[in-house]
Amino acid sequence: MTPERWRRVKEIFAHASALAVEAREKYLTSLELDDAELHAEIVSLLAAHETADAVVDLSAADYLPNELRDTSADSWIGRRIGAYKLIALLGRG
Amino acid sequence: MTSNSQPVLMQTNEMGEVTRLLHEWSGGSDAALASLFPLIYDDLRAMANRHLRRERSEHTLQRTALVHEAFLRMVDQRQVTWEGRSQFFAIASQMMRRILVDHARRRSAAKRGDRAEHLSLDDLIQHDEERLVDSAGDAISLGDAPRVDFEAIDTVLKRLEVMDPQQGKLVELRFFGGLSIKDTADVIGVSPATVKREWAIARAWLQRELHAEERV
Repeated sequence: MTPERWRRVKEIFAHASALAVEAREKYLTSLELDDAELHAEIVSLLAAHETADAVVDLSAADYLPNELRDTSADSWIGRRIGAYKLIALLGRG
Repeated sequence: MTSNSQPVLMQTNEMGEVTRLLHEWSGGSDAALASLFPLIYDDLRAMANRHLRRERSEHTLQRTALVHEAFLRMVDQRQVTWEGRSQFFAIASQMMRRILVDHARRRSAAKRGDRAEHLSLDDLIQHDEERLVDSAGDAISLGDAPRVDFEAIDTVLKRLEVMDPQQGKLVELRFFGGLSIKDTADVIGVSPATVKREWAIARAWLQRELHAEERV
């Protein structure tokens, strides 16, 4: 998509996403008559916009593995180690 | 903010050096940027490696900003200007992206058994089963960390950058840098309202494109 086309997509998205449901439907209907391709683009973006947990809602650092060396025994219960699953603490060494 | 278990990576004289170089860079010195780059890069990579090796001593629930941590440790707060701070965030976010994407690439290569990649034991993280082999050679299961394909994000983000460089920058700052709306606005030089609006659509577009790739 060209930068100019993308600018247009952004404008329309901003406008459409701010509208109430009924007004939005009307707007999208007339858009479809005007430019079907643009309409499809906007509809798919509006759908993605509704996602509750988008990938980028967290930052990159949030996706890095949790701290492993947790000294609390409770945190190990339920975890799998190879083929085994820890059920309960039997004792400390 | 910093716990006792975190090593101090920067000496006071180094911190002064980074601050001075930032100042020179805002004054237009390209040589200062060239000197800054390795200082910041090495520190960020060390920080990222600590996270990747799960040496973080805190598990935070909010959006994590590694570049914030880096900034607080590397720059003398009393002397840095807001411009210097913005420039630091911009460059650090870019570096974080590079560090994380490079790490993801190396890991993909390891999974393919690519002999050309020289990897240490620490690097052999099996992505899908989230198992790390420790120094004794025993498998240890990781926690329930969400996973994401940084390579896929990088590829998709590059496409956004072609269409819209400023929006691409915004995503780099928010996602790789972990910057707030306000800090992002300061770095780019637009209003927070503009950042919010641009972020909303960038977020939607990325979500759609990443699912189209079916790698996230």
